[in-house]
Amino acid sequence: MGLSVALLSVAAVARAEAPEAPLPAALAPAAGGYLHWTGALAVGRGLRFNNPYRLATPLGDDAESVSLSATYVDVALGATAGEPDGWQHGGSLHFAVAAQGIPQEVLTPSYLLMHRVPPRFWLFARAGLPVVLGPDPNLGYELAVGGSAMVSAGLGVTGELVGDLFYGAATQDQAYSVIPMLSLQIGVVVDLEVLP
Amino acid sequence: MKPPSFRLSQLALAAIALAFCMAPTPGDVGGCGQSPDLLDAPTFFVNKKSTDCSRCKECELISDACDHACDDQFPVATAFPEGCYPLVHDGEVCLRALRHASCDDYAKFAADSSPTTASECNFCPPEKAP
Repeated sequence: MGLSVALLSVAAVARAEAPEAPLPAALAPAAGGYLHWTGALAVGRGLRFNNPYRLATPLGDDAESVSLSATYVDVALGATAGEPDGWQHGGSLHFAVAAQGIPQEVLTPSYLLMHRVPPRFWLFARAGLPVVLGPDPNLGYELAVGGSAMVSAGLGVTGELVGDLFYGAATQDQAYSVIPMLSLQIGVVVDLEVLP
Repeated sequence: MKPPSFRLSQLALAAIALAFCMAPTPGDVGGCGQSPDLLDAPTFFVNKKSTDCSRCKECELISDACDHACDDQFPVATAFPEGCYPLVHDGEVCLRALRHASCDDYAKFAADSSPTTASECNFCPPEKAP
C-alpha cells in the first residue's frame, strides 16, 4: 500500500515536470502585434486660473479673476500597442477648436498610456504638448487622466480631466504670463482592436 | 469576428469626426515672447471706431453710439485715461473680442443707456484710475 502511494506520487511529480507539448499551429498565437485604435469626439470647458488679459468669462468680481474658458470641441485619434488586457503604450493626436468667442485651434500630440478594466472599461493617461495654432501661436504642457465605458464592442462614452499650462504674452509685471488651466471634457469614443 | 463592413463603418465615423470637427483652448492669451509694448492710443481708438461701426451695421443696431462710430466727422479719442498704460496685447484682445461678440452682446456695448463694456476691453477701469 505504502509502495503504491509512493509510486503514484513519483508519477504525479514526473507529469508535472514534463514539458508541455507544443500547441498545434492552428491554436498558437499568430505572429505580429496587437494594435488598439481609438477615435473620440468630446465637448469640454475649462477654468483659467490666471487671467491678466481679462478674457471671458470672469467668475469673480474682478475681471482678472478665475475665468471660464470657451466651450471647445475636441477630436482625437489614438493608437496603442502592448498587452490586450494589460498596459498599453502609444500616442494620440488631439485637435480642439473653440465653439464660441474668438476662433481658436489647438493641436496636441501626446504620449498615451491605457489599461483595460474588465469587462467594459478603459482607463488612460496622457502627457502632451498642446500647440496653439491661433489666434497667436503658442505652446504649452498638458497632463490628462480619463476613462471610457464601452456600451458595445466598438462604441463607448469617455470623459477626461485635463490640466494645462500655457505661457502667454508679457504683462506690465512679467516677461511672460503663466496660464494654468483645468478642463473637463466628455464625449463618445470609437474603439477598434486589431488582434494578432 | 466582426464583418468588414462593421469595422469600415467605425473607421468612417472616426474619419467624419476628424473631417468635420475642429485640448482645451486657452483663450486669447497671446504668444509667448510677445514683448510688453505700450498700446498706441490713436491707433487703437481708430480701429475700435471702425470695428464698432461695422458691428453696428452687421447687427443692425440703432443708437447714438453707433451713429458716432459710423460718422467720419465724429472725433476719435487720442489718449487713454491718466494713469492707464495698456499694452499692445490689451488692444488686440479687445478688438478681437469685439469682432466676435454676439449681436446681443454688442447691443449692450452700444446701448445709449447704461452701456456695458466687454471684460477684454476693460483695461482702464475707472476704479483703478489714480
